[in-house]
Amino acid sequence: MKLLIIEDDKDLLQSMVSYLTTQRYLCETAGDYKSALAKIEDFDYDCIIVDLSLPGGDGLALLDEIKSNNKTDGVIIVSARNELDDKIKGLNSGADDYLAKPFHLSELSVRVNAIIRRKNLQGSNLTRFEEIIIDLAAKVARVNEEPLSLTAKEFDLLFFLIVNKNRVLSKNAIATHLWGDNMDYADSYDFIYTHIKNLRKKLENAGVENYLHSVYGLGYKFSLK
Amino acid sequence: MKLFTRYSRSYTLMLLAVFAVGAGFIFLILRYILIQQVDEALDAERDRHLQYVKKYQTLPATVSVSDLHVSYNEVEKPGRAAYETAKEQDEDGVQDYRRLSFTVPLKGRFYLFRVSMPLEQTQALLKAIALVTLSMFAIILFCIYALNRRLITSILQPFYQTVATVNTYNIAQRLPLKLPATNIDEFTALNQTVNAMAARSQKDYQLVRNFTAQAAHEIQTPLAVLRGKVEALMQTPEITEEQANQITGIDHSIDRLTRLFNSLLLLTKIENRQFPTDGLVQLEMVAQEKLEEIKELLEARKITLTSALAPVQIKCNQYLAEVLIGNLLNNAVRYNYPNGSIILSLQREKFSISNTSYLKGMEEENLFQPFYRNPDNRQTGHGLGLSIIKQICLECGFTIKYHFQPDIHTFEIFF
Repeated sequence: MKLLIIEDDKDLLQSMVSYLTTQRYLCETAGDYKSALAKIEDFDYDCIIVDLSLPGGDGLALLDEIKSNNKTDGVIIVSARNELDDKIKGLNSGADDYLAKPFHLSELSVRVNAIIRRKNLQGSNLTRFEEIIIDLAAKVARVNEEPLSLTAKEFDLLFFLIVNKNRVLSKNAIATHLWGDNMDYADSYDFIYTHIKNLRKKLENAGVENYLHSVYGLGYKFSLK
Repeated sequence: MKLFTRYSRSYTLMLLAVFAVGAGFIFLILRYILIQQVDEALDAERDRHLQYVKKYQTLPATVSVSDLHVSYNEVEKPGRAAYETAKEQDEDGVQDYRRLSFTVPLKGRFYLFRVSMPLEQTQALLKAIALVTLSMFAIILFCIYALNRRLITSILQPFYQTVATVNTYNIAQRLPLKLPATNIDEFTALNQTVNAMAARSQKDYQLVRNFTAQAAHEIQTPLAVLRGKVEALMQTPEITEEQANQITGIDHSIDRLTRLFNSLLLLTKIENRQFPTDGLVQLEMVAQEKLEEIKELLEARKITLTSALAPVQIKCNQYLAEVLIGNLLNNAVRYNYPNGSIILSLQREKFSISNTSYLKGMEEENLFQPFYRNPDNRQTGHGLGLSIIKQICLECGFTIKYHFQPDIHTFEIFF
């Protein structure tokens, strides 16, 4: 899977690249409008992550470029201008998703994953972790072909954990993914615990090994060990 | 004191003084002239008596007719002629008379003659003149008053207009203040000055506004970097408990900053009127949706919810309505205690939300101030929630009221 990350802040760019690389994505980068344009024109990507305010041009103009080139690349806008207008304009210009800064890298990763699954028409719509298979389109998780009966929140949680497998996920990131920015983290920690507990129990009942580990003081991690 | 009152008081006093002096002066002159005439008549009378005595060498008979009293008596030596005003008895009672006393020599003897004439007519004339004069003064005074009143009111019209316009002027509306030129130089100067001042304030206000928005924007990328780095740090194998605590601390602070700046941005955007508020919003749907969002939270805290939501359509902005209801509900949950209660009611003209809370009652004026914190507040809110609520109400033309009865906080929004 090839990604293009267009972001002018080097530190943020580096963080995104290193996170997404561990998710087995091949990441290319562009730090300004011109080099971004050149790369968009010359290569195909599975997903393009674009910052709206770029040196040398507006990220929205890049979207028009992608559209006019008849590219099918998925596009995620990341913007510091958390404006409703920008969001609407961006989505109208053909972006698939919009993420306001400052975002959690785990959230970015799950959005990238979702877009690639959606765009990848030939390939499968399935995300797999050992014996667990998630069908995002059907919103179903299966263990050994047996569907798990999960609530919507539990399904979201499981997908989030599996997409970000082998990574420590903070409660904060999980809470933001499940409830958005509206809920205070202090409010939501108890529920995360409840959902994790329920999810663990359901996986256990389905005969799945315990992949969901608590990382003391930080959060949770979905991994073999 | 109104300008006109102050002005009319001054000139009325001044006019009264002038009139008093003038009237007194006229009265004295008239009286002098009139008495002078009586004196002349008395002089004629004296001459008549003198001639009579000279011609007939005898004293005349002292006949007193109604308008002329004559009397005499013998004196030892001649005196000087003298005029005086005195009271004398006649058929109508005691009256003022003008009396001339003079000595007439006759055969080596001296007789003091007193001829007097009544002043009644003179006084009646003076009275009439005084009355006419006074009524004239009164009429003049009244005319001046009425005229001035109209004149000053019409002259001050641009001034009142300026005051009214400035009064309703809201700097947040981002419209220039356009006070017109008038036909009075002073008011035109005033209007120009006020216009210029408003323009300056407008500019400063925009600068502060833009600065806030810009600062909040600029902070997002560094925050994103921080968040990314912290997430990367979390992946470090073998993290100690101490390190984990520190990382979580940083993470929480980033989260607080994020919320703070998002709220600041939202507040600025509402104030900048970036949300059109002419949409129709089905408010009970918004409330239902928000209730759904906090359902888990309510259950976890065992908070009882009572809601009566009538279908109500209001003129507002969908997003703002969501923020409004969401913020109120979040507060009602956040500052509640376990096993507390929340009561929601939505009617045609108002939305009200009451909740139990561990917080004591608050002053309404403090409540909506940005960054105001109740001293008992145990939560880590950013202190902008109620400011945002207030601002939304302002934008949409709602009024918000807060009141507190022991243990129950109530917010009411009137559409």
